[in-house]
Amino acid sequence: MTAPLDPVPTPPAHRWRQVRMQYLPLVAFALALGAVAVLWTQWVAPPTLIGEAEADRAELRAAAPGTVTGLNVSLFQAVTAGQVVGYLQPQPPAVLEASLAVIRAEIDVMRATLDPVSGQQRVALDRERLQLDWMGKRVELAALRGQLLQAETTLARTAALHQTKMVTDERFDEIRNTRDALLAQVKAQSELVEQLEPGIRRLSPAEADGKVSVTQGLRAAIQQKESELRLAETQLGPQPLLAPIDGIVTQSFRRNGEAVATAEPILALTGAQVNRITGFLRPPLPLDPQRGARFELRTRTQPRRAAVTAITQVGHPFEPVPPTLLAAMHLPVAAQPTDLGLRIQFSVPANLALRPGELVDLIALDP
Amino acid sequence: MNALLQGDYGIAPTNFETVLLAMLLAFLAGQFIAWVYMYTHSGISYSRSFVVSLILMPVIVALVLMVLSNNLVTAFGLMAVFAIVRFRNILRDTLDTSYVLAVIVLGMACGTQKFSTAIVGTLVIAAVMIYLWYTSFGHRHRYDLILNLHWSRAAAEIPELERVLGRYSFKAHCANRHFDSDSTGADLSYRLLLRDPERVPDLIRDLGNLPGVEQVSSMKAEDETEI
Repeated sequence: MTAPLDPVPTPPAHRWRQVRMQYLPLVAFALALGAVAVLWTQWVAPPTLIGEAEADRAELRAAAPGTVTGLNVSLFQAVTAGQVVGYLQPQPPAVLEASLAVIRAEIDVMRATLDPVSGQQRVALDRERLQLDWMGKRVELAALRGQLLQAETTLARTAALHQTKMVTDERFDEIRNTRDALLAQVKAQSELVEQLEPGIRRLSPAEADGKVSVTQGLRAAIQQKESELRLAETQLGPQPLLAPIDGIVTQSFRRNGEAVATAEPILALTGAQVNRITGFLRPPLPLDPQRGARFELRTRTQPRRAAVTAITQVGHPFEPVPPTLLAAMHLPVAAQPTDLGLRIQFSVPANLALRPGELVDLIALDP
Repeated sequence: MNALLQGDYGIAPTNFETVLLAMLLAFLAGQFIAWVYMYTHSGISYSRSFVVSLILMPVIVALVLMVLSNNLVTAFGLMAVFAIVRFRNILRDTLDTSYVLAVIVLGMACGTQKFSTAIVGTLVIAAVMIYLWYTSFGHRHRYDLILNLHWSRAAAEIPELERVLGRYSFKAHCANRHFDSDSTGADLSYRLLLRDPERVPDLIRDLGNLPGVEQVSSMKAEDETEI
C-alpha cells in the first residue's frame, strides 16, 4: 500500500469561493433563523387576553343646587384628597330670601299660639317668647345678609357698566348707598343678636320635673325652626368643593359661573397610580383561571417591556366586555353589549410604570 | 433613524419589528423550499434563476400583503399594474418576474404613503438579491472537472490512479467505468472537485506520466449543470 501523495495547495481565493457557495447559505440561514427566533419570542407570542390598567376614579359632584365659583384647577393638574378646588354658591340670594320669609312667618305663628296659655306657665312662656324674639332678630339678620349679598352683586355689576358710562352717576350712587345702608343694618343687627345671646343662654330651661308640658312641645318646634334657620344662615356663604381622592383632574364638566343641579358632576379625577389590571376571558375559556396563576405582562408601548403578574381576583358571572377591550381584540363594537367575558384582575408589576387606561397583553405562564 | 421609521401614514403605526419578522420568515421558508427543490429535482430542466425566485418571491409577497393591509382597492391596483406590465413585456425568466413584482410593490408602498415600509422593504429585498448573487445560490456546483481516460492496467491497480487524482482534488467520483472485453483495461470517467482549478495542466501531465493511463481528455463541469 503506497502512501497518499501530498495534496496541492488550495489558493485562498478558491477556498473562499468554496465557503461562499457551500457554507455561506447555511450561515445566512442560521443567522436568519436566530433573528426570527428572537423577534418571535418578543413579538409573536399571542396574548391569552388583553388587559387594561385601571386606576381609582372619582367624580366631584354638587351636594346642592348652586353656582360654581372660584374653580382653581385645570385639566391634568394633580390634586390631593381634601384640597379645596373651588366653591359652590348653593342658591341665588332671592331664593334664600324667600326661605327666610317662610321661617319668619312660621316663627310669628308660634308666637301667636303662646297667648292663650295659663298664668302658671307664664314665666316659662316669657322665656320662650324671649327666645323667639331672639330668633326673630337672627332671621332678620339673615335676611339682611341676603339682601346685602344681592346689593353687592348688583353693585359689582353696575360698577362695570358705570365705568363704560352705561349707567349714570346718580344711579350708581343710589345703588352704592343702598349697599352701604344694608351694610350698616347688618352690622347693627349683628351687634344686637350678639348682645341678646348671653341672656338667652343664661335663661335656658332646666326641666327638673321631667313632665311633658305645653312649652316642651313648643320648645321642640322652636328648636326645629332654629335648625332650619341655622341651615339658611349656612347657605348664605359659598360651600368649598373638596377633592375626594389624590389624583389628576381628567375632566372638567363645569366652569366658573355655571349653575349645577344636585348630584351633577363638576370634575372627574383619576388616581395617579394604577391599582389593578383588568382583562376579560371570552368563552370558550382557554384555561381555568385561578387566583395566584402567573401571567407574563407585555406593554404595547415602544420599547416593549415585560414583567410577571398574577391573578388577584376572578369574577363569578360573565359580564359585558368594555368597548375599549373589544376594539383592542379586533372585535366589532356594538351599541348593545353582545360579547361576554369573565372579569379577571391582575396585580400591577412595580417596575413598569403603567398609565391608567393603558392596554397590555397577558400571556398565561402556568399550563 | 427614528425619523425614517416613522414615515408611514395609516390608521395604525407600522410595527417594524413585525415587518422584519415577516420578511425574514418568508426568506427562511423560501430558502428551505429552494433547498428541497434543489435536492429533489430530477430531469434536465433545472434553472438557477427559478431557484432564486423561490427565495425572492415569498419575501416580495410578504411585502405586498403588508402594503395592501386589507385594502381591496390597493389590491385591485396591484393586479392592474402587474397586468399592464405583463401585457407589454414577455417575461421569460421567473427571476425577471420577481424583479418586476418587487419594483411594483415598492412603488405601491410609496404611492400609499407607506414610506418607511418602502425603505425597509427595499433594503431587505436588495439584501436578499445581493446575498443570492454573492453565494451563487442555486448553482449546483458539485464538481469542477470531468476527466475521461483509458486505464490499460489491471483493475486492482486503479487505486494508484486515484492516488494521483486525490493529490489534485478534494473529491473524485468515478461516474463511469467500462471494462474491455478481454479484461486488460477500462474506460474511466471521473468527476473532480479540484483543489486548484488553475493546476489542471499539471494534473494532465502527471496522469500522462503514470504508466497505464492513455487517451486523457478533460472538460469543465460548470456548463453541464446549468441547463
